[in-house]
Amino acid sequence: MRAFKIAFIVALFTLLALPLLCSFATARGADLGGVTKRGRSAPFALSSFVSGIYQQQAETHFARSLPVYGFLVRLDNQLSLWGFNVLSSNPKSRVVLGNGGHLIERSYLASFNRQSVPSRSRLVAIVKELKVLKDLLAQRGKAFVLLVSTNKPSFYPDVVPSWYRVDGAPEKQGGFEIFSALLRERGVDFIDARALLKAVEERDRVSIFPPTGTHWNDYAACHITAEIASRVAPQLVGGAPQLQCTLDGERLKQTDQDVDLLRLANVLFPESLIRPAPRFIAKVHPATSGSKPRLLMVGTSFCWQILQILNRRALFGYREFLYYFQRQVIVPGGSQRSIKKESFDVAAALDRSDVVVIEVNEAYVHRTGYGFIERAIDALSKE
Amino acid sequence: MVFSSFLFLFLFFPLVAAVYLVTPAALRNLVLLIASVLFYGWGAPQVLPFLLLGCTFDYYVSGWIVPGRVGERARKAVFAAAVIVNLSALLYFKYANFFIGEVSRAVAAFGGSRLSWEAVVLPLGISFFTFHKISYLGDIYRGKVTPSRSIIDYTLYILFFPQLIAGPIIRFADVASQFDARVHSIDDIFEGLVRFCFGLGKKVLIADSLGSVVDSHFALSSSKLGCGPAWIAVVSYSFQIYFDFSGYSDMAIGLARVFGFRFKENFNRPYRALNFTDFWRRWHISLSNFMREYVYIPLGGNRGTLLRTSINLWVTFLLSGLWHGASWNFIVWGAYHGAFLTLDKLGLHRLSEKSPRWIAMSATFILVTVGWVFFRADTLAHAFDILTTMSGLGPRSIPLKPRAFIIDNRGIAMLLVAALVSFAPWCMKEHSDSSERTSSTFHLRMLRAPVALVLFLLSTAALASRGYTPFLYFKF
Repeated sequence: MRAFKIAFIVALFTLLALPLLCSFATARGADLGGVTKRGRSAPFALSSFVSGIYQQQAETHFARSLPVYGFLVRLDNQLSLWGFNVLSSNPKSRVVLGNGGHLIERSYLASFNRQSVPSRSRLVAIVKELKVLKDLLAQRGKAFVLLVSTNKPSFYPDVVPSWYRVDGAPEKQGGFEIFSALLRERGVDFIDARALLKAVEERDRVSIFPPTGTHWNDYAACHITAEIASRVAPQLVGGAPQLQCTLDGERLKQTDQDVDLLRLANVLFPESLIRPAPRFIAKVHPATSGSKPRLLMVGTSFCWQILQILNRRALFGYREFLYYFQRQVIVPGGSQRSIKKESFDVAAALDRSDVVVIEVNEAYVHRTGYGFIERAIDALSKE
Repeated sequence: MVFSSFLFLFLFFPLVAAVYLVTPAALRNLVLLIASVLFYGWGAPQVLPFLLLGCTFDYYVSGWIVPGRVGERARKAVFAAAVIVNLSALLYFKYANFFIGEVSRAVAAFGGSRLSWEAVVLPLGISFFTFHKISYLGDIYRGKVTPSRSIIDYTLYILFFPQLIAGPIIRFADVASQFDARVHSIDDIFEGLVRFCFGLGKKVLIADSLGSVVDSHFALSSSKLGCGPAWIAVVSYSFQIYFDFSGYSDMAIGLARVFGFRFKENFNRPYRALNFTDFWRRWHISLSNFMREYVYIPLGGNRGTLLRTSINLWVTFLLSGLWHGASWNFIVWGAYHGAFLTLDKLGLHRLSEKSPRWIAMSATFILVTVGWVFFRADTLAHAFDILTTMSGLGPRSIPLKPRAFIIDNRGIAMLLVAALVSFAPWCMKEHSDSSERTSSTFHLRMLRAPVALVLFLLSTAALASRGYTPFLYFKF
């Protein structure tokens, strides 16, 4: 009995000493996926200590620095998954578990449930600006493509379990429905990614979104890229190369974006959630003129895969991507830098491009362009 | 720093325990005092000097109020002055904002301009350590105990980190001898650590899980809440507050035991109470004992007429409500409990004792739960809104959030676990009396140890997970 009690005391104090012990070993799953404001150990200052700020930062830094921290997060998430079929005990978790093992980014559920429908007047204003931009670009012989990308809950409504739905909400008109109707009304051509990829899915009997990712897979991105190219060609004097995407079985190897939500979910045994993805062959048909237009793309993370396809297939010559109009990526070269919306030289960026693609997700149509459209109209109007 | 923080679990506690273990017995109180000063100073550095000054004041004043030391009139005056000084500090720090706010509102209602007042910051644990100080002075004045022999021991009594911030309220008379000499045994360390782990599990796994359910419900307006969800929210809160508070008490009692101190129990399965009188014998026992000893009995207790007894009960519980917080919500809560205790005195408790146990328990639980609405709501108006919604007479609700954002599978599971632990007679006895230990309970007691380890692991995993909310990409 006494030995039993001593064993318990030793065991508990060993657990308490685990962080120190683990400094000498690597626990499975120590590194966590996702990005946070790292808990930094702030320099000590009397004022921050008296106000309690130093203590908060120090405690966060201490916790995150423990070698077992990552393991503990993954353990809790894994136990939540096994025991309760939820991904985390953290009510603020950004990933939720849907039907069929699909991971869903929580932020899309608001749009799915029509909880944040943008005002019609706001969307009308955006559509007017798009029309103006398109016409200004056309006057300068530049092509313009608006891409409205889709998201997993919108594309696969069945993956959203009943407990993540508000009764009757998904059937109501959302921002995308209003926006697309306005675009058609005002004659602004756009790529409806949802409709396009639905046709691909039906024809090829293939998945468009990986269960473990928030973005479409590479095969879907290939078709989107092909569509962009086909919309660009008639707008340019020299035409543009075309892309053909052909299904070629499955691949087990996952890309980073196939598993981005899985990384965020931070479970101990992620392998159980991974599924094969479609493999494809992409063939480039060069423009008859041999030209490779220069591309300027403004959009969200859905553009990364498009950029990757473009980089591999060299469909366009120079590629410039303005990620949320806050970060600039230039290929070839691969340079990246943060930019300021107010001071970025939009006129120069437009000058060095033949094609402007603006991408927005159907859940956030009220943020189309992320401030770029107004700056572009301003720059083009001054010329 | 709270008990359920990584800094406490993986640095402070093991370090203090290690240093304590290797320290000679004569210096152990000093080690605990230094640790307690660091503990409180980490959480409330601006208040620490005031608290240490207050302890010094009490220590030297206590010599003047020992019976027979000085003349009776002087003794009475010094005692009254010491209590007033301590109570004044509590009144100022805890109630000045409330009082000024109410006066300002009244002035504005009569067309005057609102008073300008810089809000006073509430010192951590002031309600608890003020009561400790008053208990110390009161017991010395009444001759129940002699003053502490050392300022270190007295300051440790006030600042002892296990009970400093959230109790239990420990009377000096109950622990005085333990400062001079206490036994350290494997049994005590074992029981203390097991108790601590169970307390941690109650707080982190049950209370905190239910906390997010409660917060998401109470954040909705009544037009979006609905009768059923309102009841879920309030019942969840009943369990949240119980497991949070009793969990913290378990951790405090467990930690104290590791260092050789034996504290009295603070909870005894309160939701198994048959009536309000029974409830207050089981809920926050240290507070009800304090209020009985230092408020109810000095007012006359139940020695007078029924009317006088009822008034004494009401006053005691109004003060008890006010002690919990400086707002009308807590006053109403106190009055609500005072009313039912008065009804018990008038004979209601006989009805509950004659009824089947499950009916009496259910009725008491429901009534106590209704009272908790005042405790949790932001304002009186909010409380009445919730109550109206609970009654089904509120506006028809239009749910705008998915069910899982209000209560997910884990929340439902924790609600069921909480109910089971709270009501099942064979579950989670708050304290194990040594007389209850028989050979038949031996294996059950031994099972507690591995369960405690598992609870510790699950709790730290949950703490880590809840503190980590990553984004997919950088946010600008």
